[in-house]
Amino acid sequence: MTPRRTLILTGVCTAALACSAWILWEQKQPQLPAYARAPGLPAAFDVALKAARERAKGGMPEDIRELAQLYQANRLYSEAKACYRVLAGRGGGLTARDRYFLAAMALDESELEDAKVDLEAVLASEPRYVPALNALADAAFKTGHADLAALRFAEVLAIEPDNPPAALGMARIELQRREDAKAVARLQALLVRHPESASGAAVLSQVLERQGEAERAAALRQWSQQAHDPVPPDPWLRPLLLDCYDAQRLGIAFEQYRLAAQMDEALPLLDRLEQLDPSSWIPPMLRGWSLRKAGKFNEAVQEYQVSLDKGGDPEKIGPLMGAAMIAGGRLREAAALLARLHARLPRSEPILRSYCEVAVREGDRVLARSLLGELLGQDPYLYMPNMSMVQILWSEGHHEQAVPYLQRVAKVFPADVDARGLLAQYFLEQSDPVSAIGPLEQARAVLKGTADKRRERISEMLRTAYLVAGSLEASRGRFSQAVDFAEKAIAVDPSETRAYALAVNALKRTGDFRRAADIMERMVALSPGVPEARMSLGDLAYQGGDHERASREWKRALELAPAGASQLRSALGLRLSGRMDEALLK
Amino acid sequence: MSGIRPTPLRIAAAAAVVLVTLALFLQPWSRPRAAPPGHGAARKRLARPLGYDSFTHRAIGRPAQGDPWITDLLIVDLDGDGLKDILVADGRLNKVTWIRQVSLGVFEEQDIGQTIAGPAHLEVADLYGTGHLDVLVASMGVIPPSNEKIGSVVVLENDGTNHFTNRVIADNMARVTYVAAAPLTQSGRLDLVVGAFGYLEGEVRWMENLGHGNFKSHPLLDLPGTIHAPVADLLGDGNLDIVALVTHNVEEIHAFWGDGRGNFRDQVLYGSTNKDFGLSGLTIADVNQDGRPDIVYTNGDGFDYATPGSRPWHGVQWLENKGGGAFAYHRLGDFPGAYSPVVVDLNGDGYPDIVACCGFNDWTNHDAVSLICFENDGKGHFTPRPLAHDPTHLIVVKAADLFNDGRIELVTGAFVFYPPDDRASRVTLWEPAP
Repeated sequence: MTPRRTLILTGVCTAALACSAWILWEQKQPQLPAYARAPGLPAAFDVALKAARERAKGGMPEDIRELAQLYQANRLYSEAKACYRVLAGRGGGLTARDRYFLAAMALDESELEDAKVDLEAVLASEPRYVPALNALADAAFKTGHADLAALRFAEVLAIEPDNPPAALGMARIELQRREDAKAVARLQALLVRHPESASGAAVLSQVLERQGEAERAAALRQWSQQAHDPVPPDPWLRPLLLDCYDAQRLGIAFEQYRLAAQMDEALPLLDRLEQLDPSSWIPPMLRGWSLRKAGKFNEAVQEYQVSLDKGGDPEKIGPLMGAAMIAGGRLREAAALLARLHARLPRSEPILRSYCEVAVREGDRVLARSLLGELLGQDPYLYMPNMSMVQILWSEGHHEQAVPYLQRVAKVFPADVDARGLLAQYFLEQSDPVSAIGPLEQARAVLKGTADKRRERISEMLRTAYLVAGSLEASRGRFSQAVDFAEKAIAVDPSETRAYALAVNALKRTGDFRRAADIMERMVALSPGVPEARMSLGDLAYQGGDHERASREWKRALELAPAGASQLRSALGLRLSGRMDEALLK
Repeated sequence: MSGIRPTPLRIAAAAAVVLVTLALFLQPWSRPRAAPPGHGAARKRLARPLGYDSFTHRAIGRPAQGDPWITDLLIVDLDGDGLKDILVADGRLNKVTWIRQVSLGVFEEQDIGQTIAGPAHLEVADLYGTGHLDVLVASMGVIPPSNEKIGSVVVLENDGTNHFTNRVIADNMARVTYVAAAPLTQSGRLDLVVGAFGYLEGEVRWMENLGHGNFKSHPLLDLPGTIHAPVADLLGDGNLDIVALVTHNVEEIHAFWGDGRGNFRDQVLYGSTNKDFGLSGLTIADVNQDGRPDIVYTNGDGFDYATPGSRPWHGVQWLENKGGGAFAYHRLGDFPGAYSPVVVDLNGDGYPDIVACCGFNDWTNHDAVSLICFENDGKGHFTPRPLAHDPTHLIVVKAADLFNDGRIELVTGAFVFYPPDDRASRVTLWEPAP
């Protein structure tokens, strides 16, 4: 081989080696993800993806970024991350927003350490971006670094003193540190400025309840149930929803906005859902739901009908449509709809429940009883159907038939007062006060410390039950049991003089005059100016052998006795003159 | 080679061969792979990897009435006859039942105790030192969402003759979803840990056993959403700690570090800022066999929204206990609708695998997986091995050697809340295929 040829060959080999090395290097560089049809996403996404991929192949960072966001918006995170790796390898590298998008994916996937790294990078160049600060604080808290979280939340509050997520986050850290007073003050301030902070109200309610402030806690609990917390604004991530073709994600975002009453944000998402898949039954169902919440019942019914016509799940939509019809006063139509659906899906409990409700509201007792029986045969412990059955039977005077349903409710709902009240009423009507006592005691315990209007009525019934039970025991000669019931009646209502009288009489029958005198003394304390009561107390003391006490009480009674009460004064005179036997005979 | 003349073509071909060889050698996929499975003489491995044919299944206990709502299962030899039984929390029937193994492989179901509203979790403990196992029940009041104070802690007291009597230990609580007994102080008595999911309000508390059936409550956390709160000595300091999984407005795993005297310090060990993360189950076990208990948990809850379905982030993960209160997060893998992690050596290779079931999936798709095992190679690598497509709606799985033959059986319970229910079950026994 000539030197020239050798040289050429060497050159060729070097070039080939260089090419190979370049190819290998190129292969090691991050690549855009390979095209793949994403299952579960509509054809429109595929079209958008192909177009975005074509643009990204040109290598311009903004086009690659656009492709990354399209993937991310549709929860194709591996592909989105691959795009960001390509961007990272380019001259410009990753921007703060890119790192924020990467952090958002890591947070979704619970890769908190990765997220923290990205968020730190974001804040290095955008230190006042509040959503990133809050996200970093939250991630720090959730990885056990409460101190770091507190620092970041403090940074947010320095920028936005009223920021609800930061205030709530800080309050949680304070509660964790057992600094309850600080947390309560912070949450109270938060609710003054942001009454829509339902989570803040719920946490504060619990802390106050724990501290024994039952009424304030109850008020805050009510407050917390009005609506969900608003979705915190995040301008950087907002465009992801515009790129989203994932019906589930859009649906969830709609619900989050809807539950927080942010309808301006919610409704455009429905439009997008419908655009993406005009044949989908989900958007009209969600629209019907929001219309019903807005009180537009007829429009809601129309939307539900559209949803059903598009093949929506009747088990889900039927009850919603029925409820909208009921709310709109279209009971007959609701009944017809649900009768039709029930005939079609006889095993469907949601449909049967709605059908029951319509029948009850229509006042069709025969149908309602039949349907409720069917429903309770399937699921015996449903609260409303049991109570609806009770209502029907009770109003028809079939109290006895209602008892098993009431007992069922009382058995599985320890905090239900109404069923216990009715049960007790039934037993009292049946002259069975002992059976009434159990449910009433339970109901009273539930209402303890509350301002519930039923409390007084339940207490009154319980007092009556104790008194009647005590009287029955006394009439059977079981005096000690009678005293126990009387004492319980006194505990329920210390001003109930009949209970004292019952106890005193029962104790007299057992010969326990000392204890009788003690109870009589408590009764006298209720009306210290009644001379007859004082005289009786003196008599009991005398019979118990305490003559000094008897004399004291008789003297006091004499002082209290009006001048014209000659019989009383005479009786007291006999006692004070030592002619007790004569006095007792009189 | 000496007889071959180096023509340009031959030289180019040789160069090409060299380059291709070089390229192949440098390619990552041509590098030597990790060592094949097999970890010493002590390890024995089944001939077949786990898969759809690894188990046969059959229904046990009573047939379902309507769509079943099994909320929890517990495998335990309740009557001490040497055969493991299954306790069932039936949220539909508001009952705790006992699927008793009357003879090897033969099961009969009976109610125990009286009605309990919305039973959600079961544990057993000899709460009063009588020598008999009592059954602790977390009662939600109702299973569907409610913020009412309708939860309670109930003990089914065992009189030693297989007769159980309900006793309410605490009531008027937010919906109670967890209760367990453990000696949290030095009193020698079993105290209780209670988790109340509630709805807008809930809590974690521990209840100090004062003796004679009296308990005193001590609050630990004022947040709704607790579904599990097991107890373990995570630090190895001899004091029991409580690990609570909280999943409603927040998605967090809390450790309440105990000092053995009834004082606890709250720390969030891990969590997700994704409010839709859907934490769904937690268990404590030594996954990497380093002597320290690790935390295994699932996220697969999809009940929250009108447009239900699994999420791309649903799956199984574990927090490796590094000692001293430090934990490292490891994702095991994706599993839509994942619930009820169980750590058990399912393939008999000596390494703990992780089984999970699927409570929530697109059941119109018959390829959707309802039971899975993440097979552990002992080197920290876990391979997902789907075990079943049906029955569907499996919300709880438990594992044990039910027949005392050294093989692991599984028992699953179904919570059928969403259609379709054509492949649903109630309680299912999974036996290793012959």
